Amino acid sequence: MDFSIITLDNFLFMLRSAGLSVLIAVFALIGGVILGTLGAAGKISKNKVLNTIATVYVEVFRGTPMMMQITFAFLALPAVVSLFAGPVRFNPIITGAIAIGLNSGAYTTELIRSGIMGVDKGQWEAADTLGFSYKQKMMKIILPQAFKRIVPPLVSEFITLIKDTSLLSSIGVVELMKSATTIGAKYYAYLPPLTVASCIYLVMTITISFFARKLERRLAESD
Amino acid sequence: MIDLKNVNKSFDTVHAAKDISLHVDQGEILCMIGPSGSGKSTVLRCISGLEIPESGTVTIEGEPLAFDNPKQLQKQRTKMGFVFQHFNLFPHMTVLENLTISPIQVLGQPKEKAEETAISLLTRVGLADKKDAYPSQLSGGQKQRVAIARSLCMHPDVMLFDEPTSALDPEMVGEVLDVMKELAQEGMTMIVVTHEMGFAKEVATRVIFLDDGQIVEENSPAELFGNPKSPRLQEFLSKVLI
Repeated sequence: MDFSIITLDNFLFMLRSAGLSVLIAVFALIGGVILGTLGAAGKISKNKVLNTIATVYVEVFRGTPMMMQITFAFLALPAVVSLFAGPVRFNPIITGAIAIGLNSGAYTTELIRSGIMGVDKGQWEAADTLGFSYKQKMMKIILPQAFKRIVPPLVSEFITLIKDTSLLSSIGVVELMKSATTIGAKYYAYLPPLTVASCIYLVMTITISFFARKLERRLAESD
Repeated sequence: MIDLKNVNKSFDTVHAAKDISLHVDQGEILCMIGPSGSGKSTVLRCISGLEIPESGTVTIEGEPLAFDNPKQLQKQRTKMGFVFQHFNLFPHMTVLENLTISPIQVLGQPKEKAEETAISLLTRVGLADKKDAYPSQLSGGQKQRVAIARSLCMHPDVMLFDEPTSALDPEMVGEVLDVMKELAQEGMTMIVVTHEMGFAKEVATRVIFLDDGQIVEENSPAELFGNPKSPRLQEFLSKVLI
């Protein structure tokens, strides 16, 4: 394998693309947490309509391939919007981030829901017998304890998202994966840039894992 | 003060409370005894509103518990303190915060006043020095004493105890029972589900024996323990240490 094609310029190009991958993953994570919080609230809610909406959302986005969702978003979103607003072109980066965010929201819904339901039943009952309202019970007693259970898997979700951004290469987003195949195409040599890209993915995910473990230990301290 | 009329509660196929009717007067100390699964905890949990009976009414101070109105039920619950077998202290708060959170949040007391009350109650249960500790740093007996103090912070009219010493190491039982005895002497109305026959004998004004979801026998402790009438109670008492 000839790594000489990974010149400083090419390497910097890959690093910049890796930055875009992280940026999209961060955006998707934030969107996912917002959607996941709403989704979990819907799933826990006794309101049948909200409950059904949340359930359908989770099932649809967990039950179809992410690649399908990304492609669908890329083709369908502009088509739908142009029905009302005339022909538009969507930025693939934004479309991709939205698609991944929607997908992540479905997983995060379950993650937050199980974090909340995992809080010991006695805690709910103690809050009830002390006369807490539902909102007080959630804000003061349940969510602070659920938070500790939610954060570690949320970090794993972030790692998954960073890897998932590679799927956006299919709609032309120049993230890390795409930067590697672009360089590969230029030199008719794919393996060196793909190897380097893999290493960059690993450095990113291992770094996050490292901090996740630290955080987990700190959260466990007060138990 | 508390009135149960024909209360029924089932869990799946188990009929845990069968047509229970019960009256408790102000200042009474009622102990409920009986084998595991006899329904005594279920009855207590129906009184507190933790379980919603399928039929029958629970009345506290002349007002039926509003099982279908969460806001009103929430208000009615503040009249009753509940002490759990497994303490259920809030692990993410210090002892002092555990005691002050409900007076502040639910009763809208200013923090200083809530803390003042909390400290005096902690002093009463002998744990004022633990006010800044977290529940995980306390022994079982200490946790239960904090839990009792936490309930008292709400100035309840009646205290409900659900097997308060069953999860404790044997040498911790005494300190919790002592706190409860003190409460009884001060005239607190108490309903206690317990396996501590000695406590029931010494402190209760009335004892109820439940079996299979029904009240089998009800009497003063001296009569109930000294002269049990039903064969089921005789059998039960012959097997437990008093």
